[in-house]
Amino acid sequence: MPARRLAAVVAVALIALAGCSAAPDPEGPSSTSPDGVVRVPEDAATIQEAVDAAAPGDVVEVGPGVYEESVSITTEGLTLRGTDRNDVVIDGGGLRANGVVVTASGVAVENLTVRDHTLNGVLVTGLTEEGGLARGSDGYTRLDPDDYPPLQGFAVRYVTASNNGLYGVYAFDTQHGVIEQSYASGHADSGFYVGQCEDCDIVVRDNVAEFNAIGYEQTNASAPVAVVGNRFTDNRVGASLLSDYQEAFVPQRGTTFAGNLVADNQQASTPEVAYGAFGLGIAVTGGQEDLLRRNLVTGHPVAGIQIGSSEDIPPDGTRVEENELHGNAVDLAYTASARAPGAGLCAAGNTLQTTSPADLLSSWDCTAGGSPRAAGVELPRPAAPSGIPYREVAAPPRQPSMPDDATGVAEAPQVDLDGVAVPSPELFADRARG
Amino acid sequence: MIGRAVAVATVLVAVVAGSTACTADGSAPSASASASASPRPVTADEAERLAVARLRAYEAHVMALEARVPVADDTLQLTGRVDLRTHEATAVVETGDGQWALLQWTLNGKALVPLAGEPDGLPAPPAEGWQVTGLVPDEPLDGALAVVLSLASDRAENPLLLRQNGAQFVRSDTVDGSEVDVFLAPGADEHTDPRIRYWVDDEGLLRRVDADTGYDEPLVITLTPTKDAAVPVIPQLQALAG
Repeated sequence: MPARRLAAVVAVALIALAGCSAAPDPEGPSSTSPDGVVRVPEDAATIQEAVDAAAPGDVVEVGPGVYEESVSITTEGLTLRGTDRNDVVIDGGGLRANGVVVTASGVAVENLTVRDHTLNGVLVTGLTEEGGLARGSDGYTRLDPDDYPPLQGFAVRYVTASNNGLYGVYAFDTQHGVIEQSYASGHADSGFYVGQCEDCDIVVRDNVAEFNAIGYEQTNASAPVAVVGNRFTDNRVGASLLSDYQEAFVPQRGTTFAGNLVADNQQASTPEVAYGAFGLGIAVTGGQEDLLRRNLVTGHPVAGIQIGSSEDIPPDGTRVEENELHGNAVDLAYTASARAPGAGLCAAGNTLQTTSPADLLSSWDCTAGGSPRAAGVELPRPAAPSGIPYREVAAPPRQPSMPDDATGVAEAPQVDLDGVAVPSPELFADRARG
Repeated sequence: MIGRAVAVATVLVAVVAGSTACTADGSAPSASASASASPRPVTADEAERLAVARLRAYEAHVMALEARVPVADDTLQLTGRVDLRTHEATAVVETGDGQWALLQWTLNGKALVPLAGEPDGLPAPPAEGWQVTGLVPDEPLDGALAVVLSLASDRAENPLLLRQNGAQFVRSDTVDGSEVDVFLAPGADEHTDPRIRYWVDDEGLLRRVDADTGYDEPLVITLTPTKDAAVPVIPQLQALAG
């Protein structure tokens, strides 16, 4: 099988490339361009070559093309920017692990497409070793997050991520960042994922996630996190706020999830969710003191909003305010287990028809400290339809490129949470396929 | 949801747990590696290869299968093919005392028909003579059959969490002449289970799984890329509901 052997050799070579900085081409650039911009392909043949030649604070500007490489960014303050969001493509060919791996602080990734990687489209993480990704723990002791302080400051904006095996855009062990104006489809786990940080100071806004197993997932990432003005539609689960013992900093808490369109997350032409979840809008599982506010949540055959426990972690103190919910089998469901019953939950000002249990709202009084500690009721779970492999999800529609005057700062922006309104059902419809 | 990262480990742990009654003192059997093996944390590259091992098996779709399955008073040798996407497999079974049979199985059940002697390759399934039964997870053979069908996944694991939760490199080895690395992966309790080892080649393809199920020798499942098509399972087996 010569073809297969060739593929094997290529894969090995590329995996080697992905794991560490590629050696600069001897004929590549020897110094940064005087204007602080390194251009691909004019100044460097590959993106990695340009990144390696750039100095902190430089811009690597990438022209149209399909780039069959993994890019590792270990230089602080770098901006990696495509000249055309749709036609600058980092393509993993179904072989390479990650499109872009950022392990330096203050980096912005902008205006390009990352597709067809076995793991992630863009990975931003403080879990580093020798400038690259870090090793694991020894023996049976978990890796200590104190040894791997969170990466400080990042931006992923106007990025299209599609058909990657885990996450489209993945921020893990990071603080002070933003994911905005981006699009993710065809991911076997979630389109966007923020994981493992305390005092995160992360904003996820104005993004579209569709045709993923889960649109947006946030695990053990805590206050302040703002998830605002996104479109999470046509996934199997729209958004998941989760506490999980596989990551440090249990429990997840203190997220403001506001002004999002969460609709029709009952799409079968997607990869399956690991544990078979389907037909859920927003799932809070062991999350605490989260605020779900002014979201439009519609079209879910299991529940619009479901709040429950995770193992022994109760969903304490979550507030559900001024959301519009309709067209869901149950608009608001409380499913906390007898093992981890929640308390201090409340709902106010919502437009909704159905709750589970049916008399839920009588004890969820926001003016009286919220609910007494109590378990909820499990929902009936219809079997999820069979899914499709992540590589077989249809390609995304063309997305708008980054405006010339858009900000390029790699930090979390200020967000006026009080000014957030319930979105239109047409929010970002022009960017969506579903 | 990241918990799925340990699906195979979970299935295997069930097999291991169901078999520990076979150890004399009830303690966990020691790992079968040589004493010189000294596991160390995986590197980033190793974590990524381990993370895609089951995905690569899924992409391979149909693989040749060999398995040594220790059961009470015997070790069964299975040689056949498995469709890792549809979860169907066919294998010739040889018992320790030289009896032969053809075995087909799915996640719901198995079908067995005796063979007169050692066949030439994988014989076509006969129309009659099958004994069709459901899978009993506690039975060592049935548990092993379920594990075989669960070795592929349509997605990767999370390499950051594999690393963070203690995945380990044990040693390098070869399978059918291919270079492989042997790993321990985090299990359902977020610790590595020294009773289960994953053998992964330099492309990230899962080539072998060993599990200490409490007998004198481990359960060994070996997968090899093949161009041969899967053998369809008989209608009686297809009709068996879960």
